[in-house]
Amino acid sequence: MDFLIDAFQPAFMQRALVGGIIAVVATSLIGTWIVLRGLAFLGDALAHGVIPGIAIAILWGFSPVIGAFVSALVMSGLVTFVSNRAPVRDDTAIGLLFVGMLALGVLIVSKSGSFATDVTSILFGDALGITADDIRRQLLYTSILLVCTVLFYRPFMVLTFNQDKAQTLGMRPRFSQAVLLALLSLSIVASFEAIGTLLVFGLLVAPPATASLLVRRVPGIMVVSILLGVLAVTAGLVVSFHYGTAGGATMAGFSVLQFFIVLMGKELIKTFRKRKSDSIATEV
Amino acid sequence: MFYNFRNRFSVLLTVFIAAISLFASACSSSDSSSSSASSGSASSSETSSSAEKLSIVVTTNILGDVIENTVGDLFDVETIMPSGADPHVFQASAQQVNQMMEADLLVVNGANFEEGLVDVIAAAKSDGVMIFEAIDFVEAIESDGHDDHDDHDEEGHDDHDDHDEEGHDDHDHGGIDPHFFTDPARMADVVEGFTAYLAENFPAIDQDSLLASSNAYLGELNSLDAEVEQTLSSIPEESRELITNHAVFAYFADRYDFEVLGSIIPSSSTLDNASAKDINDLVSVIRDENVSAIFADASSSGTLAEVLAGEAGDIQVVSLFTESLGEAGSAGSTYIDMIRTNAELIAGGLSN
Repeated sequence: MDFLIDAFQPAFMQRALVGGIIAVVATSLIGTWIVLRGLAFLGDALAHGVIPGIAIAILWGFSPVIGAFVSALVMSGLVTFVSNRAPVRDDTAIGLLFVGMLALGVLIVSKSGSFATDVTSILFGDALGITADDIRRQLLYTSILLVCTVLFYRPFMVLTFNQDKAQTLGMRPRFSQAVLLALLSLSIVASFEAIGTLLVFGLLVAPPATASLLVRRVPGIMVVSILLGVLAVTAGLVVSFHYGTAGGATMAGFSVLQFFIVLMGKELIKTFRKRKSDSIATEV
Repeated sequence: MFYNFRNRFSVLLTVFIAAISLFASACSSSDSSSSSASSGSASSSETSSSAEKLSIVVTTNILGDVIENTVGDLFDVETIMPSGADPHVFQASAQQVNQMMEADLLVVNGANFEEGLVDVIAAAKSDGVMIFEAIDFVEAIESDGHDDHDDHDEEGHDDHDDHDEEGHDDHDHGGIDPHFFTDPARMADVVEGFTAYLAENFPAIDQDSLLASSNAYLGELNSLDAEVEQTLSSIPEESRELITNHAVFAYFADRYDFEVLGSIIPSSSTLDNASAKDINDLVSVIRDENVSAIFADASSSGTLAEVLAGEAGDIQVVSLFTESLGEAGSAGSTYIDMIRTNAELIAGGLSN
């Protein structure tokens, strides 16, 4: 127990924990839909799609968060446009824009070399360096996400499980898809500045994926995902504190590890049950 | 049934919002109380001085070595980055951040040199950790691209004393080149500034032994400066031209009258890429100016430098210690060895 209490004595560790937990809430709410809709690759791509927006924001001197959000919106808009209009699959559209945005970002950064450090430090924010201001901003974005998740619960359900019927139900699937992508952009922007891109990905995909192995209903997945994420963040921080491992990577690593532990547990139970029923069958 | 579900869901979410905001507010209040507690303990440890040595935590290993030599055994000096680490990408563990947060004094290079620690240093600053930023104590050079190196020569290096007024209170390091440590004379400025800073902020420590160890090290730095000057004097005037992998030698060039003809990677960030045009321009510069060596960093790969050397014909690629000390036992394991080795390698590369 001291092991745990010691780790969270310093103020920066408490801030990292609070910031991490808020990020878990933001990413789990959206991540659940992302995992169920099969949009994980888009989430990954979007976090690179924000680089040109950040670079331009620093160049012209406005808030990098706004730059990143606009950039992510433009990218998700273009992805939707390409996959609607061109006869290519969604993942091709995403890959195309992923590279395009990344290339644009590197072009801008390299052309104006002097501010390159600012862009990298924004991209690779560090949960261990979170400030009270970061947390306040995170809270604001996360509340917006919460409200939108409640408001758009039904459209997202229909979009995810019954897309063909969505049109006839009058749910406007394209509009819901656009809202989902905007919320995804918001959750990425809300978290990466505070905790870094690596951890944002980890939390966006891993806890909802693990939760989907354990429960079936969407609200259940969200809640279990939040619990799993909180566990991964806490464990990651404690290990980083006591064993000196890099903070963000340890937390992200734990959230992925959870998935494989749960998967293996399920497999083991399955084989065990099968053997049991087999042995009953042979006895009979 | 759907609607029922939705209601239960929104109740759950509201509970979550409430819980999180409660937690956050509880935490921010405990934040302030714990930081005031720690500052209280710091001041009490200052008054009861001799019981335990005060701690100085240094981010980069180059500064770590210098600070350790400056303060002798008056302070506990701990260095965050291990030797050979790339300071631009290094990320700290929670353990190391804890060390930084609990330090009586945190010493950083500044000007965003520690890219992976920018967040952590900012948090330490806002938590009230005392921070010494080395770059504030030298005459800084702007790092704006790579095409205006010609006007460096006019400024020369004879105005080292009158710089303190300009750079101090302006903390916008946007375009400042952080690699001041390639110039041992500027490092001596930092040591002087640091000693005065310690004397002012830690009056309880033994001032005489502080001055003694700091002066001894300053003497070493000054003779290093003279030695480097001597080593480099074998290079003929027309060959005093540097082409490097990263833009790290601006301060060195400023001190010892070199001209930086170009760098393959214009700034030293991970996101930065060389352009085909830049490389092509460099190749023609190398041919026109008859450069005999290109200098790369020992800590990062010099593929582009090799390409350039192959393209430009008969020149060698020389590896220097630029951003990080070498492993213990290597030719660059201390700051003084690193500078001396680099000077010898540069002289060797450009003399023939």
